[in-house]
Order: sequence, then structure tokens, then C-alpha cells
Amino acid sequence: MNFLTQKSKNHLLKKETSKPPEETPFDNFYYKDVAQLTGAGGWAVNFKKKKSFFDPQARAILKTPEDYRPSIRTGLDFYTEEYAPKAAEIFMACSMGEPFSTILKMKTYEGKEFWAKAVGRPIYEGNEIIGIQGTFQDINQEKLKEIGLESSIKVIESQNSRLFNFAHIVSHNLRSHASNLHLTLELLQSINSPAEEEELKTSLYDISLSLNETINHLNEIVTTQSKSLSERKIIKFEEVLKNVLNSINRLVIDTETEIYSDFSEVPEINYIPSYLDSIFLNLVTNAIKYRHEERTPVIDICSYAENGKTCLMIKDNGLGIDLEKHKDKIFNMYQTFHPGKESVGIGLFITKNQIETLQGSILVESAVGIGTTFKITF
Amino acid sequence: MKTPLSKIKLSCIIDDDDVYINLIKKIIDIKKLSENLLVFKNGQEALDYFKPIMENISEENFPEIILLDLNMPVMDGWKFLNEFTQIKTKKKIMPTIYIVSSSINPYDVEKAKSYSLVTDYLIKPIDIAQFEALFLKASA
Repeated sequence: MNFLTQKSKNHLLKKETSKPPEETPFDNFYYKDVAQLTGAGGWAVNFKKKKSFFDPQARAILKTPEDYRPSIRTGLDFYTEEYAPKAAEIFMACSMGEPFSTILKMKTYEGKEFWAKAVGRPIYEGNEIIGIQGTFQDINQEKLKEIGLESSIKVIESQNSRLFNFAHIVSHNLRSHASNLHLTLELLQSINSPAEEEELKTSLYDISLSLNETINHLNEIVTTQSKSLSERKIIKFEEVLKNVLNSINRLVIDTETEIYSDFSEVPEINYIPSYLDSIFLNLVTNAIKYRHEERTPVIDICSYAENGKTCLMIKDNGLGIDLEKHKDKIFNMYQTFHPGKESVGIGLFITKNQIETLQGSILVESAVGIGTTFKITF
Repeated sequence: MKTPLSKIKLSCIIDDDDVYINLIKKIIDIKKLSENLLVFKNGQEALDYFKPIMENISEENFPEIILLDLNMPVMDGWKFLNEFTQIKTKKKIMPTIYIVSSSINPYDVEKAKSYSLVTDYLIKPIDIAQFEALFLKASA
């Protein structure tokens, strides 16, 4: 235990309880209790004596061997690669007189990483700084909970915004059909030529068709939301692509689309098969549908690993989308961006839905007239 | 049957719903609300038409009343309004613009109020009598 910490603890204790100095053993006991309760370990570095100290709790947290002797040289070994530079910077500033209080990732003697809260300050001898000292606390459990909570909030936020979008679409679309129905019936009452009556009857039929179509879309979305519990399987990307290309064989041949794929880096994935089919189908048909008329459509598809996660990239040389204008909307329902393409504006909405339901994410990059790239992180 | 004398020469619909457009055409026809009707399927088409007219001030081909939808492909109603207000004109042309939308989103209703160009925000369904009233008001 470093004597300075001990000294200030004693001092504190004296102030709080006015215990006479004879009761030092109790002080020690109290200190140990506090250290154990808070999981806080103390350390000090004395530049003058060129010595480093760990108190027993620090040794316990860092799981150092009995005979381990801390040194200035090896001090940074207890910080993860990512945080060591930050720690070095903080300690340097502290030795110039700047106290610190921060959260960083440390690791034990055996290399097990944990989140730690650390405070420290310079040690003075008169006006001269002769070292630094501080305490750190293992807050791994709390920090992990916090990180988990943050990611749950993100999931909930995205679900919420999807629901909001969904509710408005339901209201909007049913309302437009209802409105058309109402107008048609009103008109039917106020006309008297049989030819016009016939025409209005056709429009009644059209309205009923669109109404059914809307309901089918809504069904598709509801199924997406409830299917998330169905089973994942190991699926080969190659096979999914093959199946999808079979089902749109005609389209690919008619448009002379060239499709290149490379799944060698990550050949398979544990996913819900129907989702992956639908993701491939939507993105590939989109790429063909919005092809550039002046060149042969080319689609590149590859899988790869990034930050320990499986990713998929689908790149085309089609029309592209002006993301400056449409960024917020591209994944929304019933948003279409190219005239006369028989677009419904539901594919990307469902694709994003399926990916996010399984905690993944989808990003888009695009340039008008050059092409579009979708990147999925599963 | 007595029909009101049509006072509006040219009216305009910007909407992507074909069924709706056909119905409006019929209503205008039967009730003789306007002599001619311009139809655009999205904001971009409408803008491409209006821009040269407004820059060269030929009021003749400019509609007196515009019924504007919000949700449209390529360029939606909001973007159209933004671009429309940016057009530089030498003489002020003041059309009557009504937003006619199925959206009951309060955000849309509030946003519509922030455009001085927009006379009113109407939520579908709208009946024939309402359309008649709109056209008569615009021609007054």
C-alpha cells in the first residue's frame, strides 16, 4: 500500500470520526474494506526514487504474481493496445501537474481486458512534482451493461422510427384509396351517360386492386416483423445467389446483365434463409431495374469480414441515386426515385427491416450516373 | 341543367395517383370548373414546365389554381415548393396553391403553414362540393 494514500485516508478518517491516532489498525481495516467494496486499487510512481508501487487491491485486480515488482517501464502493459497511448498521454500530463479522471480499458497481468475508472494526481514535495499517484476501479460489469443498454436503445429507436413510418403509410395509403372510392361513388351519382358510368366502374375496379395491393404490402411487412424468431441456418452465399438468379433468369438475360461474385473470404453465414433470399432478390433486382440504359449492367457481389462481422457488398453501375437529396428517404416505404420504372418503393424498406430485425445494418453509397453500392453488416 | 360559367382558364394537378387524376378530370369536366387542365405526375415534371414560363413572364400559360400532392416519386411536393419559390420572376405571379394530401401527419400540416404560397392544406378525401368551392374561390 502506498504510504501517501494511507496518509490521506488516515487524515480523512480523523476528520470524519475524530478517532485518536492509536486506532491505526482499525484505519487499515477500514481502508481495506473500502478498497474491496469499491474494487479500487491504488498505485504510485516516485520519479525521484525511480520506484513504482501497487497496493494489495491493485495487485488483486491486475492478478499480478506475488513477487511482481511494478516499474515505470512496464506500467503501460496494463492498458490495452487501444488505450495505452491515451494512458501515456494522461500520465505525462499528470507528471506536469495535471490531475486526471477518466475511463479506459485496462488488462490484467494475464491479459484479460476490463473497463476501468481511473483518477490520479501529481505528488508534490514542496513545489516540485516528484511522482504521480492514483486509484483505478474495475467497472467492467457496469460499463458492459451501459454499452449493452446503448445498443438496445439504438435498436429500439430504429424499430420505433420504422413503426412510425409504417403507421403513417397505413394511414396515408388507406386514406387515398378511401378518398378515390368516395369520389368515384359521388361521380357515379351525378352522371347520366352509360359510357361514363362504365368508365367509373372500371375505376372502382382499379381502386379495389390497389387496395388489395396495399394490404399485401402491409402483410409482407408484418410477416417480416414476426418472422424474426424463426430459425437461423448455415447458408452458403453462393447458393442463395444461384437461387435468386434462377428466379429472375428472364430479367437477367433480357437486360444482358453481367453478375460477378466472390464469396471466398466468407463463404457462408448463420442467418434466416428466407431473409437472405429476399435481401439478395431485392438488391439484385433493384440493381437491374435501375440500370443505366447506355451501358451493360454489371453487378459485383462479394462477402467479407470486418471487425469480426460478416459483411456483404452489392455494387452496380446503374443510374445511381442523389443521396444529398434523398438520404433520409431511400429506405422509407413507398419512396421511389426514378420515374416510369414501375417502382413500388417497398423493396428497400423490407430489406432494411429484415437486416435490422437481426441486429445488422445497411449502408448505401451512390453517385448519379455512376452507380450504387450497398454494404450490409450482418 | 344550369352550370356555373367557367371562369378559370387553366388549372393544374400535380399528383402521381392515376385514379385520382382521372376522377378530378371528370369532376372538372362535369362541373365545368376549368377550361383546361395541366397534369404532372411529380414535382420535377411540373417544375420543368413552370420554370421557363415564369422566367419569361407569359401569364397566359400559367394556371390560376394548383392542386399539389405531397408524396410523389422523383420530386415530392415539399421539394417542388422550395424550388418553385426560388424561381426568379420579373413580375409577380401569384397562383393559388392548395396542398391536397392523404397525409394527416401534424408535422406536414404545420409545415404547410410555413409556406406563404400555400393557400390551404386539404386532407383527402375531398368531395365534389369542396372541389367546386376551391375553384370558385380561386376564380373570384
